[in-house]
Amino acid sequence: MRASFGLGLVVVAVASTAFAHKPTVTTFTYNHDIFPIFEAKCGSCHRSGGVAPMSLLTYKEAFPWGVSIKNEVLDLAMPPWFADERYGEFKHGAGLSAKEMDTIVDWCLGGSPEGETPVGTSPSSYVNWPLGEPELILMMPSPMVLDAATSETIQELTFETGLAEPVYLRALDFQPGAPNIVRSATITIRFGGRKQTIATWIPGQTPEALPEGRGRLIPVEAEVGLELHYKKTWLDEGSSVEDRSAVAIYLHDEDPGQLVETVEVTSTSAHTLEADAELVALLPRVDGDIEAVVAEVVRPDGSRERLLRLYHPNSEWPRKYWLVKPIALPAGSRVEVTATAPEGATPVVLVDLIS
Amino acid sequence: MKTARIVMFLAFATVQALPATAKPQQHESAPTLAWTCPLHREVTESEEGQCPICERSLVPTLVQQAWSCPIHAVVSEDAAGACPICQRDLYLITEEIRFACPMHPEETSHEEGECSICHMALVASTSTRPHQDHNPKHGGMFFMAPDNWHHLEGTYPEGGVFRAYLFNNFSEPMNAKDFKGRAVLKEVFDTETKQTRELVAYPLLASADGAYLEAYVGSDTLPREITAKVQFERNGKFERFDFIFAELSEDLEVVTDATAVSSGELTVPENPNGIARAIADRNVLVRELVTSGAMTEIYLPALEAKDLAVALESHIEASPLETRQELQWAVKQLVRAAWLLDDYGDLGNREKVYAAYDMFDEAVETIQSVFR
Repeated sequence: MRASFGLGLVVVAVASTAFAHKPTVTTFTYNHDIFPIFEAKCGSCHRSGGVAPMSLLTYKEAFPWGVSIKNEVLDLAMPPWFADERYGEFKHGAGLSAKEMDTIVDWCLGGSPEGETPVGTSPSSYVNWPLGEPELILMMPSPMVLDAATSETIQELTFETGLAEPVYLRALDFQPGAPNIVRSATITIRFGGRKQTIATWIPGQTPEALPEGRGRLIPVEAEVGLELHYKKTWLDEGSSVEDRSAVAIYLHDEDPGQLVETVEVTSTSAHTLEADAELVALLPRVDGDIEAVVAEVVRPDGSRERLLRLYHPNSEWPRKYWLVKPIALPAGSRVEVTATAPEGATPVVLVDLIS
Repeated sequence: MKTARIVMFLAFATVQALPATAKPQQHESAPTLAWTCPLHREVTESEEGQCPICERSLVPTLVQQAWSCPIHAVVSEDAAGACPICQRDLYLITEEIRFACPMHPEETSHEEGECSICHMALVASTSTRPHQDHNPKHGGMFFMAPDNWHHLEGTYPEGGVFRAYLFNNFSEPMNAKDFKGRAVLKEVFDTETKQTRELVAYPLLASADGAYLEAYVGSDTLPREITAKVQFERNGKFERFDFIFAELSEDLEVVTDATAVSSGELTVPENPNGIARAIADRNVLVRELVTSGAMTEIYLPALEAKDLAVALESHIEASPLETRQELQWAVKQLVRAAWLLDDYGDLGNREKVYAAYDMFDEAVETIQSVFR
């Protein structure tokens, strides 16, 4: 431990006093220990030009925020994953491990040293369409202008698909035109008087395709809806910002055979399966100050399995939780949702089932 | 880090208010030119530029490493070792060296020279940086306020008397006449209005010399639970600091018995069952400290348990498959709760400490249910 004190005075010892709450010295440094975590878990938003108000991808940008970072991490508010690790096993987990949490907090409280060897300070390249070239790209027909006086707004628009015949959706993705103001996107399909949310996007989210041989039917008459949550950080306050985002649509060549259906479950409305099904994903929709949301399945034999528990979910970061392994449910199984929420707040969990 | 923290812990029962500035001492390592913000002195850069917090232009300053005693701030040694006065372990500090005119103190510089008014040679002095010393000065409990700037030490020097000493971020005493507060002995939480109602409270009044705020709080029984609510800024919120005094606070001059100073080394058992037992041992200590109200001491066993839990993480793969998710959660929960206990313990907020301890205890129980 004390060996580290022998490093360069200004680089380590002096930096170690920055924001030091106690005269302590951490063994972790930004370059060696913190940057890899920030890049992997925070960099999609906290980068230059990202939706977060500050980048954390260089030492000079990150270290002044030590106290805030520590508080956000210990409150489980950041990274915005919210899922209780005890239940369900989900793809692309964005939560911190115990070791990562400890490393970050120790560094924040222990003097926030920079470390000797600078590492790459630019984020990994952000691939436009990680799932490959989509079959169809729905581009906003004209830019949405968030004028200088507007800090936050929600915009809805509809795309006519112009389909000649039904198609089978394999995956969806989204690309913000102005990553600094697009906080989230919700994609819906509308047909037969129904509006069904089928996907959400938040910065840094890894797109996911349906399992092999599964698809979602998009009827000829369907329209694709896009709801965009725009929010400026203080960096853009007083400026006019334009956005022209796009939705990518991936299709099967033909009917894949097994179709996905999305059902809505709330605390007052459970869903009972009429036929055997596979549960592939859950998309909670919350509003207000929710303490916890729990989704469970009760099988016909009475056994109960907890599928997902969200702890203090933030409605600003809607996310679909894709199971690593789809769960086979026999007919008669009941999917239930319970919530610890203030009166009037009724979280909805959208459950993707394959029959 | 661990050594420094342990020294802070064991220094708890000692007292001596010492000046934050002292004559500079010669050190083998040469002082280094650095750049700091006139407003945010904790910022230190190796080159000229702007403050990363407020974007003010940085100003030059001369800094040097030194080793100081948690109790005797006048000690400034070149290397780690024992305090020449009390034999405690020294901890690393960064000193700032300033040159000032003896006749015109406003004339200062980061380098040697002469006064521009009277042409006398500038004289060097050193000063410590903020938050280097969180040791109690009067035998009480020393807390940092939520604003991360003010500090407060509560003492119970005699039966029925509670005192609160105020300090700045350099742990320098502040005039108590500039603050308001009250000592709360009994309060209830109204679940309907969701507000806390004080049933028994006494005003904290400044002593004639402004050294402290004081309240007479009735009976002289021990242990004594007292909550200080102090307003640091005009029209600001009254911040709470929860104290439990198991005994009277003694304003000792010097403690010379250094035998209690721990080496601070944490030994991590090799097998997961041993780690789990070591965590459970720390849990007993944490529970005792939480119950007795020794909040500034909780961090030591809590953070040791946290270090043990991180070490346990590498053994999770060896645990039964059906327990792994639960274990991963428990390890993370323990890490989080330990840091929160450290944080809330410093702030002296009993309610938050209790909540964090519940989380900590639940995590320990989960770990123990797998590794025994």
